[in-house]
Amino acid sequence: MTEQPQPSDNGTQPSVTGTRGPSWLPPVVAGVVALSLLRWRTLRRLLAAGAAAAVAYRVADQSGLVTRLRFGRGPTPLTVTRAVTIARPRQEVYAFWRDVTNFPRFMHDLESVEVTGERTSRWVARGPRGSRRAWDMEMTENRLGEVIAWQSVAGSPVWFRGTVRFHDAPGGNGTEVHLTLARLSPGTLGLLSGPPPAQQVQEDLRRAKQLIETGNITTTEGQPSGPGGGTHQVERIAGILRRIAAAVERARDRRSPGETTTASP
Amino acid sequence: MKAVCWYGTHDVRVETVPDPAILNPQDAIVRVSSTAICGSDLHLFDGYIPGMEAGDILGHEFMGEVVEVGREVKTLKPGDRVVVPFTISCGRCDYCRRGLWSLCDNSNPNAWMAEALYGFSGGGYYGYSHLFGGYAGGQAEYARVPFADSGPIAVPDGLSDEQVLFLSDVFPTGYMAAEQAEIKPGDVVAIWGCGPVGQFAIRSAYLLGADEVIAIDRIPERLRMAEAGGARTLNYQDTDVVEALKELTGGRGPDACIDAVGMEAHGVGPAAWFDRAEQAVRLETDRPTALRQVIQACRKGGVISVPGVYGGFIDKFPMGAIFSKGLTLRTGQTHVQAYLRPLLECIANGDIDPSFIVTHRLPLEEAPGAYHTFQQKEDGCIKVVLSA
Repeated sequence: MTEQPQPSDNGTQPSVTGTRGPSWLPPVVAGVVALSLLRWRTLRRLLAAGAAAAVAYRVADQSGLVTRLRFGRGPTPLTVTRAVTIARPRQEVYAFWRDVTNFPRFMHDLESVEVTGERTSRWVARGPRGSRRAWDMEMTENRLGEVIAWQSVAGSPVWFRGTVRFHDAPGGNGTEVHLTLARLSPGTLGLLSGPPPAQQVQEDLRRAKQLIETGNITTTEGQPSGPGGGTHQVERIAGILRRIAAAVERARDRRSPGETTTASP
Repeated sequence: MKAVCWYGTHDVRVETVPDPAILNPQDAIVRVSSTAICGSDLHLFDGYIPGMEAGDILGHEFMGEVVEVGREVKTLKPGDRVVVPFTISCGRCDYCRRGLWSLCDNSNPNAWMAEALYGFSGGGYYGYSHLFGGYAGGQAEYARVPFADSGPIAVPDGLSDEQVLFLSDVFPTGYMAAEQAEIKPGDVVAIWGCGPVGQFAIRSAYLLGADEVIAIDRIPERLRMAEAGGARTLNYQDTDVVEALKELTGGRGPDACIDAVGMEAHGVGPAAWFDRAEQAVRLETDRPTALRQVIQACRKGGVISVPGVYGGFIDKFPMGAIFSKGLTLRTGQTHVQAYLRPLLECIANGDIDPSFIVTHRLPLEEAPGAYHTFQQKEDGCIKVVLSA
């Protein structure tokens, strides 16, 4: 062990490292002293609070709130990229993505996609509180078995771009799918709603993989459980945070022109 | 139907719940004839596995008669008598196709939870918390079996429920533990834990050619059952296990060591107290008291196989011993589907009769008491079979 030489601060402040021990020591000592002064019950509460905060952050992250708070506003188009490997040949995986009508089967909040032309399609997504949002998409790139890209047409209420690239996985073990999504709602005050949360994109890819590999989406929805139970704490908290995130988005959307929001029946 | 539901730590109840239904076209519904309580169910009972919710139906060792199949099911039909592996596997993903069935990519609908904890998610299992899929379990009158074409195995009528039931988990788990220990003729194998998995590991080690098996536990009836299986036994409460193993192996140490104990090890002395204290204040989630001893006892260049369940984090893990002795560590949930056929053959031709393990036979309604008896190891309890 050698002591790191401390850069002197133009002589105005003499280095104290040599005389008073390593710089990390005082806070550690203070921490140990502070902890030892705490009563056991208080320490347990602190630990519990730390654990609760970690869970709360995780749930907030799951619900998309963290993404919105961190990246919700700003002038740059924000993108999310996620990848998954699917144990099927590249042409088959490509063919699945080439058919846009497959998308509502695995994409979160996407209600329907209708083919309107050789390269165009109309997408309808569920918004907050049963609202719907519709826009037209155009295929901007299509190389057989390699890449497909779509973008919302000019004047759409939503600016949306998706690119899917396909590569053979090493050793012939299926196909790597690399999905990049960018989404913006244009606003007058520079308030923009960001891309879907990365976790949501990951779940979309997971469902697509389940569909392609097994033909179905894996579920436990509708199975029995004991009476009085099923509190579903995690889902409930995530649901509350999702509603907060949606409210934040709604507040921004109110300031955005060109919205086609319809109330649910 | 009646089902065994989890309501909290040490709170298991038999409740009336709706019958399961086909939710996916690849599902089957099985009318359960026999179901067992697994040692790993005790980790749920004791509250050490995260992601349980009140009302969750327990049980991952079960068998019975197929009563309904989804329209895409090809290999099963109503009336078939089947044993269901505890691992739910799609049969189509890369892991399933490589035979790593318990690592299925597609069978855990809550994969994000396990990903947050472990980096990646393995497959789903019946009745084993929402972390591992949140599937309703088989300690019930009926159970939904997803991916029915890549799980259940039809069993001949000539074999009794108790002979084939343990194909669902503990027999393949003990067998895979022995197989992962890479046993070669002439090897001495030490096995920690003489519960059902340890018992099957002892017999599997001999099937795979072990020269001698040394089994370690503290419960007299479990040690006796191990001796009946041909093992030499050590009671860790009155023996220094590491020293005794050295003595029994001419100073070399066992060639392979199997931890069939897992996260709730008991142990004696300061190390055991330390783990209990750390687990109590959540400085670690699992007690690796046995695993440390396993690592310490293993000979240089040996193999450690861990069928015992671990869920989270352990403290004071002797990585230095693993490195310095050049040990190989092999772990994982059992790839049950890979062992069903060969082990059914072993049973059918009389190499082994797994029913030796059963100590308690009870109706499903008495499950809550059975959990308590099993957890307390009262009344000589080693394995409980519930008839639905």
